[in-house]
Order: sequence, then structure tokens, then C-alpha cells
Amino acid sequence: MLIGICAYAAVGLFFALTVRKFLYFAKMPLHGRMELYPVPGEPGRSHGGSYMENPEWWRRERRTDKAAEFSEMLKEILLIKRLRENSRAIWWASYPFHLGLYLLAAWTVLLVFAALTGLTGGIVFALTALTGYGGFACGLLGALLLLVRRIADEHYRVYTTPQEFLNLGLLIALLLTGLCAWGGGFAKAQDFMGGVLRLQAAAPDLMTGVHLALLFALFIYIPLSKMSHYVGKYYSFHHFLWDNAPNLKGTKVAEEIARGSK
Amino acid sequence: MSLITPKDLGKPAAQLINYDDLMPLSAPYSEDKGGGPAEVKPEWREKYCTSLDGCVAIDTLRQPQSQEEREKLVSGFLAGLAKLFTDANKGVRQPLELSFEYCAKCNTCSEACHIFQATGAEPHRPIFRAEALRKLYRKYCGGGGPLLRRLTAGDIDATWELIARLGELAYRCNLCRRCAQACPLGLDNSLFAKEIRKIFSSLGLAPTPIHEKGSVLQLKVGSSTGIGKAAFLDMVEFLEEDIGERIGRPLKIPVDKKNADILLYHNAGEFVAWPENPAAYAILFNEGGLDWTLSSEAMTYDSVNYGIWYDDAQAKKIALKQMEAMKALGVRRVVVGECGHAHKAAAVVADRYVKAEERLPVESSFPILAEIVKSGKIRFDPAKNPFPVTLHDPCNLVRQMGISQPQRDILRAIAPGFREMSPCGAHNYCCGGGSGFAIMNSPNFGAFRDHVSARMKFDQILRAFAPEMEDASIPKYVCAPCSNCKGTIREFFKAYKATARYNLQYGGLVELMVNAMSDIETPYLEFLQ
Repeated sequence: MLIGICAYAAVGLFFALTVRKFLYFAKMPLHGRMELYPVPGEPGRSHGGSYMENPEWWRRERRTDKAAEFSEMLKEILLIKRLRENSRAIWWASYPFHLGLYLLAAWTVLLVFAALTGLTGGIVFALTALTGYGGFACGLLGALLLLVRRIADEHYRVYTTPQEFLNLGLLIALLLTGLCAWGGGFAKAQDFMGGVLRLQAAAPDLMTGVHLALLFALFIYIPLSKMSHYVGKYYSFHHFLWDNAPNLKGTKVAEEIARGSK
Repeated sequence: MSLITPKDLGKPAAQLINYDDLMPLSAPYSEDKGGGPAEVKPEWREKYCTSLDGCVAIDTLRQPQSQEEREKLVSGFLAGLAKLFTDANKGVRQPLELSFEYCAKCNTCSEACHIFQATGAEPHRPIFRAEALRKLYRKYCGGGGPLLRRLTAGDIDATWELIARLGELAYRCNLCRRCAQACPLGLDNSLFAKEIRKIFSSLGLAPTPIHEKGSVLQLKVGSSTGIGKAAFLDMVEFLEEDIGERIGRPLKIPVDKKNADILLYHNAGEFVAWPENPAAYAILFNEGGLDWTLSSEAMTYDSVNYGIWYDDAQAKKIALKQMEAMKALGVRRVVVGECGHAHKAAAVVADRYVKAEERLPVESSFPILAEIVKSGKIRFDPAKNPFPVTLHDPCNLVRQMGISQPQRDILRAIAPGFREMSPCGAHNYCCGGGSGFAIMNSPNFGAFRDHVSARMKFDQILRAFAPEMEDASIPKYVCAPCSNCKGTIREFFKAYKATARYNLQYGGLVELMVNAMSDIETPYLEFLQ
């Protein structure tokens, strides 16, 4: 029961602290315009243009392409596009690491699904094995490559703080202990997930206990650390680089400025 | 040689960086390795902070004469640093805090930075000064105990030498923001350079050409050139006569015309250094049938706003005065001429300073010029521009405003020899003169600009003209539609004797347009006359 409560608390805190972080940035005052082109929400201007390429731009209806913006963000999240285009060597480490995390998120969903439905064979089995082994392998490989690069290359080492080494170390420890704890076919993980969901999880063995302690601690630590860049990235793209909304009468920006100048 | 780290900024050394092995240039300058660039006179070492790379940007920062002076700079800087992440800095707080917190130190920005690429010098990595600032903040302003400081590497001592070098280092970044374009997390390391400049400015330390002879002069007499109303009107009159003679017909430049549709807003430096540019605008706007005027009122005949490079308070002061003066003219819209930073200052930076109804709409002249070409109101003969032409993209105009296509549409219509430089458009490199470098020369900063920060641009130009480069009988025209960029190109062409040796020419877009006008017989471009 204690483990179940800890698991719910850790996940709950993860989401609560993440929301707090979102709110922290959301409550900041409106900043000056600092857009940078190409802005993907500019329809028909993939060359890096903007509405300001039109004479008397303020007299035209301003259109934005939310689908293009969403698609660009998706490429950034799923493929880490900018890193791939601008720093391929680091991408070869960062991409497997992030892919590993995405696969492990999918693996967790599959464990919950199996626990709730009792379906563990066939496609569920195959997908669980694929996401689980794939996730641990990619995550570990990527994290190790990132760590090696940061240690071996002095151009990275001198800028890496002890906390950043610690973050990587914690993630590697989490993935390693996870692989050791659950890696024997994932039936144990499915059983354990069922126990957690029903608050009836059995006492774990030492390796599983260490892994769970790390997992719960990281759930709380991640939103407090720079590993919460999933929050930062939203703001830096949508509210900074891609925010080219002009201050025109009747717009949200104009309202915000009017409110702020009172 | 061991790697220079942010901590080394405080290290006692006569000079941390030497530029003796710069990025090779393309032919015919492939033998140039840099080697310098600046001569450092012994008296300068005694007077200024030359210990970063020998160059001096902040000529108002003097070597301390007492311990008290040392402490004054350090404590003043740390007090300014503590204010960065408060609402007192609201115009930039969110992006700054994002960049401060989330940088993954992946070094992707280094590959995008033309100054780091040109030098390979560690302190020119965009993350270097950001990391120095982080360390200082965490040690002196971040709170927490020694363990947290150790974990977050808040391990740098704030000494006079370190703060002074950091101040100089803030003026080794053109604020072109190409690094932010490449950042996988969407962060902007140039913000740190700008914030360091802001802190220094709050301590009364800013380069004389951009503060005393820039912002202060502009606020005092209405223009950073120092030109008053009477002198401006004289210059316009002279321009009408001179250009009228050159094009073989009278040229009338409307000034202070009541209720005109357009106020054409030039960088006043154009009237002084390149009068053919405002004259070309006058020809095109007149022949294009536009209802326009210049203004002789203070703050409305000089569009510059140097404040955006080093001090938000100065930028806002200038922008508000400009807005007020422009509204009083009774024009319907403001159209900015060929000045990149004036475009950004008036149209983007000032956009959120006041309520929407309190300002006039501001737009670029390039879409209007493209419409003139498209409309056929003026006949152009591209055969009159038979020489190779390449286009420089001013960062403020293109990367930071997204105005890229109109210039290209015009060039394709009037210049058959037009070819892009590589990379181009929003991804083009800075000219090397951005953020004030174009006008900073004394005592030896011009050498840094001409040989280091402009190196990538010069190489791009050499590559764009590679097939004709060594044939001095063919003029090769760099179209740089921005006063600061033109100023920079003029200077490095001079430094490399590029015009004398290889007939490399530079100028704006409108001059090239007027040169192609079918009904003007004499070539408008001086090098063709």
C-alpha cells in the first residue's frame, strides 16, 4: 500500500509542479517583441517571411497557420529537428535518449492498459516488449553517449555544472536499475503496475526498491530542475521566437498592453 | 594552449585572446590569416581595458586608480545583475529567464555564430558569456548555501578584471541572433550580451559613439548626426540641385508637407554619407505617384535608435519622442527607408511601448518599392545593370522582421546578374557591424570589426562573386539595403582594398533601381559614371 501511495504522490507532484512551472512563466509580464524568422505560423512564407512583407500590412486581415506551427513543434518534439539540422553529432546522442523516454512513456501506458484490462498477450505483449526493451536500450545508450561527450570533450566539460552531471547520472541510474528490475520479460512490471493501481503492490526486492526510489524522486525533481525544459521549450518557441502578434486595436496584445499601462 | 574558461576572465593576463589564426578567406584573399588585428598602444593598456583581446569597445571604462574604483564597478555590476530577473526588467524578463534556466550547453549556437566561426576563440562561443553571467548570479545573487552554489557552479569571483572583460566581451557579439535561430530549445544567448551592456550603461559605461554621440545627441538636437533643422533643410536643397543635375531633370523633395499619406523616415546618416540614397527614394516615390514627405522636425528626420543596442531605457525614451513628433505631423503612416535597426526599433521594438491607438502604423519601404516595380508605374531596363549583384540581408530587417521577399522580387526584375550569397535570407550572416560596431572605431575597435566580426560576410561576398572576382574590369555590386551594413562594408572593403584591387562595389537597393530606370540616361551609380 505504501508503494502505491508513494507512486500516486510522486506522479501527482510531477503534474502539480509542472503546472506550477507553466503558471510561473505564464504570469510573467508581456515582453517586448523578439520574434525570429522563419515563424512557422506565417502562412505561405516558408522562405522566412512575415505579414510585414505586405504594404499597409495592418489593413489586411492577419492570418496565422496553427497547423503549420503545430507540425513544426511536433517535428521539434519527436525528431529534435533543430539539433538534427544544426548539430548532428550531438543529435546522435540526444535523439536516442529522448526516443528512449518516449518509448518508456508508451511502455508505461501499455502496463496500465494490461493492468486494467488483463490483456497481456498478442499485440500487447509485442508492443510492451518493443517499447520496454527499446526504451531502456535507446535511453541508456543516449544518456551514456551524452555523458561521455560531456566528460571527454573539454568544450562541453567546462560548461557542464556538477548538477548537470548529477542529472545525467540520475537518469542513467534510473534506466539501469529499471532494466535490471523489470527486464526479465516485463510480466513482473505488469503485475507490479496492477498492484500499484489497486494500492496492493507487494514489497519490492532490493533492485526494484532502489529503482522505484529513484523513479519517485525524479518525478518530483524533474519539474524543479532544468530537465523541465518541456515547459521552457513551449514558452521559448510559442511565446518568444514565434510571437509576432502586432499591437493593433482590438487584438489580445492590445488589450494586455492597455491593462498593463493602467 | 589550455582552454579559456569563464573563470579565466578574472585571470591576470595582459591579453586573453589573440587573433593570429583566423578563419581562412576565399580567393583571392586565401593568404590572409588575420594576424592581429589591432595595434595596442602601451598608453591604451594603461587607460582602457585591453586585456580581453587588445581591442577597446567601452572607451568610457577606464583602468581603476584606486581600490574604491575597483569596488564601485564590481558592486554596481552585481546590483544590476540582481535586478535582471525582476519585473523592473519586464520587457525581456521571460525570454531572459528561459535562456538563463534551460540552456543545455549543447554548443549548437557556436556553429551558428560568425564571430566564433571566424576566430575559434573560446570566449566567442555564445554560451561563454552566458555561463560567466550564470556563475556570477549563482554565487552573488542566487541565494542558497555553499552546497547549492557548488552544484550549480556558482564558483566565479567578481573582480574588476573579470567584470571589465565581461563588459568588453558583451561588445564582441553583434546581437544578430543567428545563434537563437539554431538553438534546439529556442533560447537566445545574445540576450546576455545585451543585458551586460544594459548593466554597464546603468553605471554610465557605454561606448561614446553609441551613447554620448548617439542617443544623448539625438535626444538633445533631434539626430545622432548632430544635424539641426536648418542644416537638414540645407542638405535637402543641395540634394535637389545636385541630383537634379545628375539625372537631367528637376528633383523636388517634399518636406513638411501637410497631411501627406507617407512620412518617409531615413537614417540621417544617409544624407551625410550616401546622399544618393535619399535622393533615389525621392525619385522613385515621386515617379511612383506616392503622396509622401520628409519632415524637418527634430526626431522625425533621423530614424535611428541606438538605445536598442545597449539600453532599453534610452531606446524607449527615443522611440516615444519619435512617436510623439511623428503624430504631430498629421501623416497617415510612417515608412522606413534603408536602415535595418531603425526598421526594428520603430516597427517591432516600439510596438508594445504604448497603447495601439497612441501610435502611427509603421512599415518598411521595401514592399512599397516592390509594388512600384510590379505596377509598371516606372519603366526599368535591367540591361542597365549588367554587372553581378549579390544581396546582403540585414539581420534586423530579415531575420528579425521577416521582410525578405520584396527585395528579391525587385532585384530579379532589375538586375540580371543577381545571385544569392550563401546562406541567404533569414539564415544569412550579419555584416559584422550590427549592434553599433559599424560606428565604433576609436581607439582600435574598427580593426576588430573589419578583420574579425565582418570576416564571414567578406567571405560570403568573395564566394558569391567567385567566377568574376579576379577580373577587375567587372564591377561587382553588393546590395546592402541598410545604413549600418553599408558602413561596415565600406570599412572592410577599405581595409582589404577590395574596391581598388577587384572593383568590389557596394550600395543600397534604391540606387540600383534608379540606375535601371529607362528614362534616366546618365548612370546613377557613381562607379559607372
